[in-house]
Amino acid sequence: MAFEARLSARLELQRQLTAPRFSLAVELDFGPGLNVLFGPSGSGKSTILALIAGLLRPDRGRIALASEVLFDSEQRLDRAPNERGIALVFQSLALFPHLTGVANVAYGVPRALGNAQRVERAMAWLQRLRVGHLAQRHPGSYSGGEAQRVALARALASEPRALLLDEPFSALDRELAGELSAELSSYVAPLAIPVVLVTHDRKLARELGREVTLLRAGRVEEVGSVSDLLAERA
Amino acid sequence: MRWFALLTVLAASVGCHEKPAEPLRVAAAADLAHAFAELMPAFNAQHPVDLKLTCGASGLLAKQVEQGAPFDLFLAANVGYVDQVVKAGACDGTSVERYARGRLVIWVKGADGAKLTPSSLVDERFEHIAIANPEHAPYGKAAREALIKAGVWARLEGRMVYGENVQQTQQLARSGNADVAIVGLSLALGSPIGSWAMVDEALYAPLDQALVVCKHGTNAAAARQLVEFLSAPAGRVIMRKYGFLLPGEALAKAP
Amino acid sequence: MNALEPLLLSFEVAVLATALATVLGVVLGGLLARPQLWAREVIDALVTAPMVLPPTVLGYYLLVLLGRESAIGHTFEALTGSAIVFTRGGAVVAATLGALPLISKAARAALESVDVRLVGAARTLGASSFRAFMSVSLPLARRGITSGVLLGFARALGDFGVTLMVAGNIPGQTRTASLAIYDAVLAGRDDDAARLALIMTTLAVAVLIGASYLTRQRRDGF
Repeated sequence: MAFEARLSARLELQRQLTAPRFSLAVELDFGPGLNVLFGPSGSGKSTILALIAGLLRPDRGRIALASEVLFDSEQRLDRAPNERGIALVFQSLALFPHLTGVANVAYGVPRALGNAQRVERAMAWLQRLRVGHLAQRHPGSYSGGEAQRVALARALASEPRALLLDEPFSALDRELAGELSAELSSYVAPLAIPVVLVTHDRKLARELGREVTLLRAGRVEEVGSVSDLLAERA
Repeated sequence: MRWFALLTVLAASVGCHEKPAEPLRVAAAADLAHAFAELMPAFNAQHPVDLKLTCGASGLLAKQVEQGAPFDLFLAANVGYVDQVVKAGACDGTSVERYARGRLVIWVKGADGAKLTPSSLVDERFEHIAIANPEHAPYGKAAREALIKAGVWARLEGRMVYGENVQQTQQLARSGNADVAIVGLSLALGSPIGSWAMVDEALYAPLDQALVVCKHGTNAAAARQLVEFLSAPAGRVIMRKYGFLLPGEALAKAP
Repeated sequence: MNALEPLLLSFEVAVLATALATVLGVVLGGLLARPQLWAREVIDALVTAPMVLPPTVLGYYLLVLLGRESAIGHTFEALTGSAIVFTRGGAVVAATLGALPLISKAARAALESVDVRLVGAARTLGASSFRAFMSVSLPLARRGITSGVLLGFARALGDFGVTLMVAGNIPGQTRTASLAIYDAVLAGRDDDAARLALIMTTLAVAVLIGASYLTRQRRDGF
């Protein structure tokens, strides 16, 4: 069975009355693997992720993942964020400060499995991301790189059908960012799901993505290959 | 040792909750508090019923009785509130009786109150003059009437302090927050300290105080026994002692 | 004068009222913390409004609303055999009403201060609104809610005007410590009043300190 899991979204959002004012109108299409959404700050990248995940509602539009429609303003269809199967890693990571590492990661593991199995899965992911030692520790004590790994483990452990990453590694130093981004492909590739990575970091985009969507001021500027569009600056 | 005493009291009070008969719940106007302190044991000597007394402003009690408060007997500080509860259907109109004609007195904490009249209050040393709130307390209304008739209200109005009920009014003077209070005779007699002078009866309309037996209580029989006791010689002696005189009666002892 | 009776009654009523007000207050606070609820400022104001009225007046309206002559009163009496008003239940209602605005406001503020992204993360990880509220919002708002609850307890313990009207000042049944102290002061029994006031205040302070201690959160150092 070779049908691709694609994530498509047509989104329109107007905010004229409250700051920050913006106007967003985009049509996006993401295939399995790493897709880069590139643009300067304020171009609406984080908003787009929130809309796709269901945390914000577009004025108009349609969002579909694989063969399932998650949102359609004309049909008055709006699936709740917990029913979309889309994991979102915030720029701030949003780790639950009152839970241990393993509890954080286990939070999204399907509840149908028993408690014991969920903890087992969570531990497996923590170890895979090389932060098994953080299982009993709280996020308050993690370093930047550690927190990033736990956040990623948590998202992956929820068995998402699509993964959204908002400015991942932006808080890390060059070396750590490089280390993690190299690993990211290895975690994500076997899942064959659309992964949307939002960044304003040119270097990161070139390292990770093949396809890039250029965003500016709430509009899609261009879609193409990384090598074409994000050429090395002279 | 304190712990042990506390536990014993606790145990005893738990035991005390087993009372075989229904209690007699009495709602009485604020100024009857002292009188009842003596009435209760005297009544209990003849009728061993558990008398539970709630004192308060007649107006407030009347409203509660109207809304079904479980009192067997209501003694108000006037007739109006009794009429009100009878009209509302909460109390038995045939049981209405006058138990006293209230008298106004001017009361001070110190020993020099016996000569005071409404006109004397004009003196600057009475910075704060306390009366019960004329809007809803019968004694307050009468006090204001007396001061108006005595021709001093206009000059005193700025110095008036209103107590929520006549008991609280006396408390204002007792605590020193007011220099003088106009209260009921019963409260003056019931207070171990202070001195007082009667206000000329011609200055205010008679303060007839009435009682009535009410329907939402659980021991109407005991209520009627108490009413009988209040009008019997034994009860009247105590009532007179605390200043609750019927027309024609004189005080048990001179001020 | 049996000093123990009003004290026990006061604490019994206050504990029940605080428990009731906590459940209602946290639910209300949760509702009010949602920005989508367009009527939330109106609801918040309505919950706080009773604080503006003089207690005896508020008590009187409650009396008419819940009293033996009212629809609610009749239904309650038919179901349980006893009236709400002039009973211990009435005292609990009065105290709950006093504590509710304090707890709901504290709960609202505490829940609003929880990072909305944490709730968002919980939702995308598969949690329903309810589960996100219970497992993320509430635990993180615990401190603020607790302080609101303690405040509510103190308020419930000290309720006077509304209790006086709705529960009556019936000795042995609804004469709480605050009413008993008032009676004693008015009757000139200043010693009795002072004694009762001292015991009540000491016990209340002890409970508050104990509760604060038990619910303290450890601050993670560096």
